[in-house]
Amino acid sequence: MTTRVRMARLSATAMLVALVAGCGGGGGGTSSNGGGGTLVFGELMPFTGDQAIEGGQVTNGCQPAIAVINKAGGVLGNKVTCQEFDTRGDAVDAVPAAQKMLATTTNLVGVLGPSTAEAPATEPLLQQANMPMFSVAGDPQFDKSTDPYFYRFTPADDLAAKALALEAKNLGYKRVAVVFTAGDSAQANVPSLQAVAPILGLQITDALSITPNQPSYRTEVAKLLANHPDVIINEGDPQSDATFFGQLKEAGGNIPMVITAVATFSDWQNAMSTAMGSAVLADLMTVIDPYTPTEGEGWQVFNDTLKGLHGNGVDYKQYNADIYSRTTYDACIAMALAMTASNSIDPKTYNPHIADILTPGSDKTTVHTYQEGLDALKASKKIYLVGAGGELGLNQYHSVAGAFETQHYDPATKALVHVGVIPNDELKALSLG
Amino acid sequence: MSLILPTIGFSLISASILALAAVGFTLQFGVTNILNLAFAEVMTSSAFVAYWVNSRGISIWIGMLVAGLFGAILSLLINRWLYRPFIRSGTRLFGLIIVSMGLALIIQNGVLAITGPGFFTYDQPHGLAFDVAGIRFTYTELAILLIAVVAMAAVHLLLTRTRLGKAMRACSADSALARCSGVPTARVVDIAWLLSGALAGIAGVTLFMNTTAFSVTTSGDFLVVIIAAAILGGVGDAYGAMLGALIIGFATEFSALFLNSAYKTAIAFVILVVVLLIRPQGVRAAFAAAREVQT
Amino acid sequence: MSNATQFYVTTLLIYGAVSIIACWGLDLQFGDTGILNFAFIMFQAAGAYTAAVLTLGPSTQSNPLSNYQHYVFGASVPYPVSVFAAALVGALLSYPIGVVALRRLRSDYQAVAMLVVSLIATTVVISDTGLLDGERGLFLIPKPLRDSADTLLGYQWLYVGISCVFLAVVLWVIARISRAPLGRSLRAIRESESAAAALGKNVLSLRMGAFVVGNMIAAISGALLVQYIGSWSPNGWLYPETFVYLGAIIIGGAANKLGVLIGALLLPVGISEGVRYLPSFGGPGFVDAVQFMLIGVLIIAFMWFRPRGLVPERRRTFGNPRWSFRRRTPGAGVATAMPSADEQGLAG
Repeated sequence: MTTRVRMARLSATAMLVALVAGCGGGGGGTSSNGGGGTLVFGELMPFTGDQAIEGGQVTNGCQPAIAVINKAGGVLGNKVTCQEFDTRGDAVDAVPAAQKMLATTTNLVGVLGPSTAEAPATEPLLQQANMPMFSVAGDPQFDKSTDPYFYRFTPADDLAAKALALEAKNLGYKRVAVVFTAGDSAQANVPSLQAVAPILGLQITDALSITPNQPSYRTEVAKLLANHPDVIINEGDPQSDATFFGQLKEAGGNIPMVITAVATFSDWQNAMSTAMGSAVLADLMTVIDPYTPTEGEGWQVFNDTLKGLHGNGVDYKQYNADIYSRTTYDACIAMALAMTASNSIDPKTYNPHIADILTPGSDKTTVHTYQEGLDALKASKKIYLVGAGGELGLNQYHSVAGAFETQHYDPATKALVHVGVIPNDELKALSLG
Repeated sequence: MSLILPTIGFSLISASILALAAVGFTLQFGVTNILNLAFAEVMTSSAFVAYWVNSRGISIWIGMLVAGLFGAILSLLINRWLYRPFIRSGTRLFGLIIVSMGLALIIQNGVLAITGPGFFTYDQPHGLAFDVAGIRFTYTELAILLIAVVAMAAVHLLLTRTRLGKAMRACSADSALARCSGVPTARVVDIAWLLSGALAGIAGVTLFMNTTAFSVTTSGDFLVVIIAAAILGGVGDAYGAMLGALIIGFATEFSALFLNSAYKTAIAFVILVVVLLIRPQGVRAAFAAAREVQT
Repeated sequence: MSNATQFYVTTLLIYGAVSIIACWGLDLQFGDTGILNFAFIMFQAAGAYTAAVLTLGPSTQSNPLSNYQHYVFGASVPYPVSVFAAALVGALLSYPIGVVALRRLRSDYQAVAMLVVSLIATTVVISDTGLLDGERGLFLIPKPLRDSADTLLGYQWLYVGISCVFLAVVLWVIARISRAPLGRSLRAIRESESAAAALGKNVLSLRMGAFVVGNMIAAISGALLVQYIGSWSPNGWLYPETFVYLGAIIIGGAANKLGVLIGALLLPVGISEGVRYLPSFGGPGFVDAVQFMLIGVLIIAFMWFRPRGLVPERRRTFGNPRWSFRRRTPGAGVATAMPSADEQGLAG
């Protein structure tokens, strides 16, 4: 059986017993989490269950960030650290996890998360506590969030779906098969794809939402092939995709694929290149993921630091190309600089400085790293941070506009290579029809 | 429709994997009456043992044998060290379900702590498709089909042609009567666990081979389907489990063909419910009388 | 207490109340009547979804709450009505399932059949996204009586009060059933269906009654929970959740209200506290994996050392039904005199 249970629901009650039994002494031992002048970035993300990879993405952004910050002497003389708060990818567990984080973490200065599934339930709690949060929830209800503490450094789901369809068209295909695993993934993408396909003159031959983690998809594959698509647009977990496309290949279907950002994971790449053969994969696949340039000083420092930390929870291979890791890293650097700029570790005070640091201005000095930022602030300059994720370009809702890039797989290096960029305005134009 | 013939072939593959697991599950359940929720975790841990062997450059087929061996020993030890003491101290059916749930948590997360949450692949032969009666099978699929057929035949021979098999069937039908007739029930129970574990190990490897990429939760997701196949045929009846696996294999693949693929397993479960409505004892009713747990 | 601590403590109190209510509901079926309801969590979910859609308002573009979500039966009913409606849905859903499962199947088949029903429900909700907004789930579910408190913290305490009211009502109902002749009939069925039937008890309708009432309580717990957290999705009610509740009951002591209460609060006691003091080591999620292993060990340890639960079921003796504190020693003699639910689970 799977262990995906709402343990927090019950472990929370265990805490209650401990608190009651402790008769007011409940808060006694909690200082070990963050006391002693160490500031905490709380990672409110799933670390177990199906979405555990999202926790990994955030950890692999936070860890290099604190390494860089602490190396430069910390924030206002305080060391910083990352702490995991497992939401298990589910609102019922996320609420007590968030409350536990807020109540028991001394010197909590900001939150990395929440993720898609928990955001609706936990965002109000964090706002209430005046805690800046850097969410990865691409859901449309956060596109125009008016919460001043809410930030989103990754593009909206809706935009991502449009980028997939646009790329299929740009590659010259007409007949598109859409294959998503049933659940979140299909729900976020299929309706948008179906809406945008006619605008682009694409014909959807099949819109399959497949049950994930099945031993076989032979029948689905046969059905899909019978409709003769030119291209498949897909997002799935490594296992389901490897099974599906492995069997597609065995069935003789060499069909080009346009894949979402899942293809940036080395887990996914390894699974798929085993299933299809890496040469075939390289031949057929185009990857569309949110674009952040892999160049510039900010990126270089992130990349080198992540590489240096590899091992013990940090996985360079898996996360170096990951936009969530990079933007999480930027979020930490931005928070640290905002605290320095406002000379306060109180989130309420420093929060307005975050957006300021991430907005360009003619009177501002562009900085790429934490050290550069510190130096500029020491010289009483106003700063604009262009970090590992490049120019983020926040709008008034603290969301990024979001461009996408196309990438191909290089079997020799087992990594993705940048091919081109799909600019944001092209995608925006699509919504006008 | 031209897809019907191929779909029959795919159904057979799905049924093969399921049959290995379901027969393993039902052999043990039939003899001991313990609803072992940790069965899928025996599959997982054995298949990861095969991964460990395989990642040392040894053929996956050898890995499968090792997995079968590991599964058999693990199952035996689980019974000797966990279930048997509990039964002797008076824990009964419902309590044992909870114990097996605890065990499942321990094994699954133990494997998770060792392997980490990622996805893994075997180094297994790819390509090599064969056309059998117009259906395109891969080498792996044919091998899985063959393994299932051989294993089912072996179980059949064991149950019908050996004294041990007779004793197992006797225990399955009425343990107290079997004991009175001089059947060494404790030994039969041990052997049931061994066999069940061996089949679990082999089923785990075939499942992971067929999905290509696998993780710690891969077979956990499969557990209820296994139980459904076993119940569908009538618990404790190896032939019933084979039949149940076939029915579910066909149901899942044909529902993917004619209906929505998202409802694949749901359809199989609906069939189970409907069958239980019509035949409350399962398709083959011979062994469906209620019994007490056995050590 | 600081505000943050108060928020945390109130959350724990509310979750504790939900957990206790749910476990009492399940115990009425499992402990008192001997029904192994593996679909229990589905009834909690049914209650939660009912309360959610009945307060979110109609699913139209003009409704700001439902702008980004799709669901059926949207309405805006006043507060306690949404909870009663949840209970009603729990009851209505129980009938078809109960008729199928309770009537003809042996008890382990019953359990599996219900497990399967729970999985079918999950699949349908995830796959048919127009029904209850799929895997993303419902959100922005309004908090009942929010205007009655000035601050959010005040509201937290108000909701603790509301939870306690529900807790008290459910306890009253359960205790009534347990003490009434009805309770004795249920236990008689648990001990021996055929004997109860021979005494003229209508076994099926009595079992059905316990099944329905237990599921209504489950639905109430779901409504209580969802109106507090404000969002609900299939990840919150996957089938293993039922096992957790069942584990809590067995650890606490089946068919003993106090025991079940303790079990509902205690299942992973100390563990979630303990791991917070563990240094973070290994990969992401390693500590969590260890935590789950420890929970598994704990469950098995409890089963071994306290097989009848921390607070075992009281022995009910004639003439002195409520004050029997005589400790029963575990052993074969008692076991035969007082076979527990699990000892005869397969009977009939």
